Amino acid sequence: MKLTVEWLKEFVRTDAAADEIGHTLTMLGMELERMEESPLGPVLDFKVTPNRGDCLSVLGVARELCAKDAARYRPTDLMRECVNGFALGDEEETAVGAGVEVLDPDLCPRYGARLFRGLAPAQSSERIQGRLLACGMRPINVIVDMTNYVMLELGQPLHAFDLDLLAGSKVVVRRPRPGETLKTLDGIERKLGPDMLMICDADRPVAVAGVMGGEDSEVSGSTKNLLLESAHFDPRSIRRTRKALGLSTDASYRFERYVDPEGVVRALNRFALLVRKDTGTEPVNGVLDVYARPPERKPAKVRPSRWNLVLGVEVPEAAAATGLQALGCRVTEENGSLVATPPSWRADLRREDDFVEEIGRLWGYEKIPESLPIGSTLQGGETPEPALTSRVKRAMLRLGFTEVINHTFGDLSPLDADGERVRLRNPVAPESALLRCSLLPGLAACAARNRGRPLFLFEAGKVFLNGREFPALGFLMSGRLLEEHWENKESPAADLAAAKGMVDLLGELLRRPFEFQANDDKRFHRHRQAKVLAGGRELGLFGQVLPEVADGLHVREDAMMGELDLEAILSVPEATPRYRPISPFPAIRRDMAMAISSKVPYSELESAVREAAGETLERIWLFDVYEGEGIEQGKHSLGIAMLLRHPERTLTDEEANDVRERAFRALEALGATRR
Amino acid sequence: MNQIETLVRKAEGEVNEASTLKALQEMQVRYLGRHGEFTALLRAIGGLPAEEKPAFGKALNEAKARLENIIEARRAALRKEDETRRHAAEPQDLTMPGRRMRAGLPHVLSQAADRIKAALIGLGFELIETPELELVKYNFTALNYPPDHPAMDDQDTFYVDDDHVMRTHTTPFQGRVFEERRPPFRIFTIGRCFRNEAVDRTHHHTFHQVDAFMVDEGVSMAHLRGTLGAFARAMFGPSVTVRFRPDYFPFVEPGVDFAISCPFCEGEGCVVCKRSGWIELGGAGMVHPDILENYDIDTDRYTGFAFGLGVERIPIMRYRIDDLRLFMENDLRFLEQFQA
Repeated sequence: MKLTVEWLKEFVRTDAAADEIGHTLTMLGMELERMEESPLGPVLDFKVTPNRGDCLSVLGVARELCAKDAARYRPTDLMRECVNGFALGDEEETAVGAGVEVLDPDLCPRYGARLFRGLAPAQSSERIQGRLLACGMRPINVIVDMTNYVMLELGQPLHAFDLDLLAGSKVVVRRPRPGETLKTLDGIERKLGPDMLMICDADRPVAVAGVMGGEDSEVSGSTKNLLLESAHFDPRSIRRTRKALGLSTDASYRFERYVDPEGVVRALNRFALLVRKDTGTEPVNGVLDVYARPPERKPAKVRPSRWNLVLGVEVPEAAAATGLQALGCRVTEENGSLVATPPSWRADLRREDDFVEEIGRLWGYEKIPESLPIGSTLQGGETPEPALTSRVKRAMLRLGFTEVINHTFGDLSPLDADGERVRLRNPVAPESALLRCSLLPGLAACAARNRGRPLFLFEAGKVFLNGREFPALGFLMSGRLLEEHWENKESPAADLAAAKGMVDLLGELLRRPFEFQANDDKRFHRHRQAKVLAGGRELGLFGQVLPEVADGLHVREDAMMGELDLEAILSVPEATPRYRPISPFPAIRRDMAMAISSKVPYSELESAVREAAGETLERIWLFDVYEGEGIEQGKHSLGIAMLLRHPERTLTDEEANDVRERAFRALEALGATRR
Repeated sequence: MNQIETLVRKAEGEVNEASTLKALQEMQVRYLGRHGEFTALLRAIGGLPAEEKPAFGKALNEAKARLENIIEARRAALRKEDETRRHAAEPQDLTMPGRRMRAGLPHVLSQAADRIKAALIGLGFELIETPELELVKYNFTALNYPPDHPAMDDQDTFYVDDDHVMRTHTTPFQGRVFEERRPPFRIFTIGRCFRNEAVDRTHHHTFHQVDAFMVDEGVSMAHLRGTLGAFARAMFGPSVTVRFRPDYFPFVEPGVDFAISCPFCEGEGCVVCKRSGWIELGGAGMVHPDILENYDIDTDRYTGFAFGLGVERIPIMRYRIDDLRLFMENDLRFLEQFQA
C-alpha cells in the first residue's frame, strides 16, 4: 500500500523524516518495501499483513505510529476530529428521499448512506488528485475521486450510486434471485451465485456488494443526485464472491480484511466535508443507517505472568496497559491482571496471546534477549526414514555419482512405471499435471540435457504410485567408466555388469545384501535387465533402456538406468557384521579353468565351490569368461580363482591342491570339464 | 695366501668395472655365492697342513668381508648413477593433467540441507519426514487458517482433489507431530513445497523449506531468538545476530519475521543485503495457543516456538546465484561449480 508522507503528517505531528517513519512501520509489522518520490514528496510503499485490514489507511498507520512512540508521533487536530467521527451533527436524523433495506444482515451487518442533491459538475482539487496519483490511483471525476480519497484516508470503501438511476429511489441489500445478472463497471455481464451479496434497487441488482458497481447506476461527471454507500460486509462472503467472479478491487481487498463497522458514518461525514469544501454542495440532512449487528467485542484477561513468559522479557504492567490503550483497547485491572477489550476495528484481537503480541510489538522485539531453551534435554537426530535416505545419498556419493533434483510434476513418459497415477486439478501447464511415479524420466531428461559426456547421476526423492507416496532412488550410468586420459585411452562403457556391480556394492554399503533375478520389465532391453531383491522383498530393478525409448528421450542407447524403493529397503533389516579374527598366515591362490554349458548359472558354480572348498576359502572370483573358437557350441570357458588361507597355520601347497581338487570335482558334478 | 690376494684383486678389478647393478649382482654370486670362487678356495683348505689351516681360514674370511664392502660401495655408486641417469631420461612434466577418479557430487541444495540438518540436530532437534501430497487438514485447517481468509492468498495451491493438495509449506508436519507425540519435543523437517506461481528468475512452483518447532514448559520468544541465533551462527559464522520484526502467520502468535545481520558485509551494506545490513531469512513465532488447544495441550503449562525458512535462499546468498530455475535444471555446468 502506498501513502504520501505529507498526508500522514496531516494526522500525526512529527519531525521524523520519511526514512525513520518507514523504519518504524517495518518494526511495527508493516514492512517498508520501497520509498518513492512524488510531486508531493516521499511516498511510503509498505506491506500490510492480511490480519491487519485496519492499517490499510492513513488513519490506521497514524494510529500505529502514535501507539508505538507517543513522544515522537502526536495526533493532530485532524486526527482528533477523525477519532470523533467528523461529526456533522445530523447523524441522529434519517435522511429523506431514499430508502435502505437490508434483507441479509448476516452478510451485511451495517449499511449506511448519505444523499447529495444538485451536485455541480467539477474536477476534484489538485491536492486530492495529486494524492491519489502519488498513491497509485487514477483521478476520474470529483465523486469517484472523493470516494477513493476517503477510502485511502480512513480505510472505508465508499460507493456512489446515481440516485436518479435507482428504481424506486431505494437500495435493497439481498442475495440475487434465480436468473438475475449484472453488468459490472468493467462492462462484463456477470452470472450471480446464490450466496453473492447484491446491492439492488427496487427492481434489480445494481452492484456486487463490496466488490464492484454496476454499469447502469454508475456515476459520471454529470451526476447531480447521489446516494453514497458506506457499509460493513462479511469478510468471508466478500472473499468468496470476488474469487468466484475473478475480480479483485481496492474495495474488496479491504472488506476481505475487515473494515471497521463503527467507521461507516464517519466515512460518509468525511466525504460530505470534502464535497462541501471542494464544490460547495451540502449533503441532504441526516443519514440512512441500518445497523443490524454491531460486532461483539469480548474482553480478555491478560496476565503479566503470561506476557513475561511468552515474550521472554519483562514488560512493566503500566507500559503494557498504556500500549494497549494507545491501540484503542479499553483496559481495566482486575486481581493483578489486565482486562482488555479490543476496539471495533480490531477483529483480530480475540484471546490473551493476541494482546501479548501487541504488548511485545509496542515494547519492541529488539528488547527480547537471546537465550537457549532449558528444561528437558532432547536428543537430536534423524528418524529412520530420512536417515535411510541420507545414508543412500552418501552411499551413492561414495560410488562416484552426482546428485540431481528433478521436478515432481511432469507428463506421461515411456519410462513411467505401470500403475495408478495422481493428477493435479490445477496444473501450471497441461504437461505438468501428473505427479511423477518414477525417477527415471527425470534422470533421462538430465542425461539429455548433459549429453556428450559420461554420466553417473542419481536422485533420491518421493514418487507417487498406486496410492502410495514413497522415497525412491533412481540412477543413470552412461559412457566411459574411466575419464579420457592419455594413460587410459581405452575404457569400458557402463554396461549391465557395471550397473550390477554398482547396485551390489550399494547393498553392501547399506548392509542389506542384494540378490538379483531375471526380470521382464517392458521399458528395458529383454536380456539386459535385472530385478533387485533383499530378504525376499522386491526392491526395484535396473537395466538397459530399450533403444527406441532411449532414442526418443535423447539418451545414449547403452545407458543403464535403475530405480529402488527406499521404503522397501528400509523394511529389510540391516545386517550387523560380526567380527572375525584376521589370520596372520599367508594365503595361496589357486585358479581353475573349465568349460561348462552357458545355461548353468555362475551362482551355482560358486556355491558348489564354496561348499567343496570349506573353511580355508577366503575369497572367490571369476577372472575369465570366454566363448568362441576352441569351445564347444553352447558352452563357455570360465576361470575361477580362489584365495585360500588357514586361520591357524601356514597352508601347504599340497593342502591347497587338495582344495582345488575337491572344488573341481564339485564343478564336474555340475557338468564342467577341466581345461 | 697369495691365491686369496690374487682372487680379491681380480674380483675388485671386475667389480669396479661393473657398469650395471645386474652385472654386479652376477659377480657377487660368482665370487661369494654358494658355488662361488671363494667357496671353492675354502674347500681347498682341506689340503693344507693343519697348522696353516686357521691362518688361511682367517685370511679368507677377511678377504671375503673386504670384497663384500667393495661390492656394496660399488652398488651404492651404481644406484646413484642409475638414478641420475633415469631422472635425466624421464623428465616429468607436472603441468600435465593427472588421472582423476570420479568423485560423487551432492546437489547444491542437498549441501545446504545437510548444513541445516547438522545445525538443528546439534540443537537437539529431530528430523522427520511427512508427505509432499498433503491433506488440506494439515496444510491449512490444523494450522489455524480460517476458511476464506486472505492469508491463503500467498499460498496459491495445487489441488489434487478437495481434500488433497501439494503442500504449500513444510509447516503441515506440525499437525502430524501433534497427533503422534506429546510434549516436550523439538522436531524439524526439510523438503519440497509447491505453490501455483508463474516461474521466473525469482519464483518457482517448486522450492524447498525447512520447518522446526519445539514445545516444552516455559518456552519463550527469547528461546526462539536464542535458537535462531545459534542456528544462524552455525550456518553463517560467529558474528551473526538475529532481528525480529512483527509479521503474521495464522499458526503463530506472536508472529515474527526474522532477519540476520548480513554475514557478507558485517552490516556495512552490500548487494546481498540490498545495502540494509539485514537479510530476511524466514518466518517464526510462538505456536498458536489455538493449535495447542486443538491437540489438548495445556497452554498454561506448555508453550512452543516454530520457525521456517527457504533452503534455496542459502546457496543463492552464498554463491550469488541469480536464477532460481537453475536448481532443478540439473545442468552439470551449474552443479559442478559447487563441489563439496
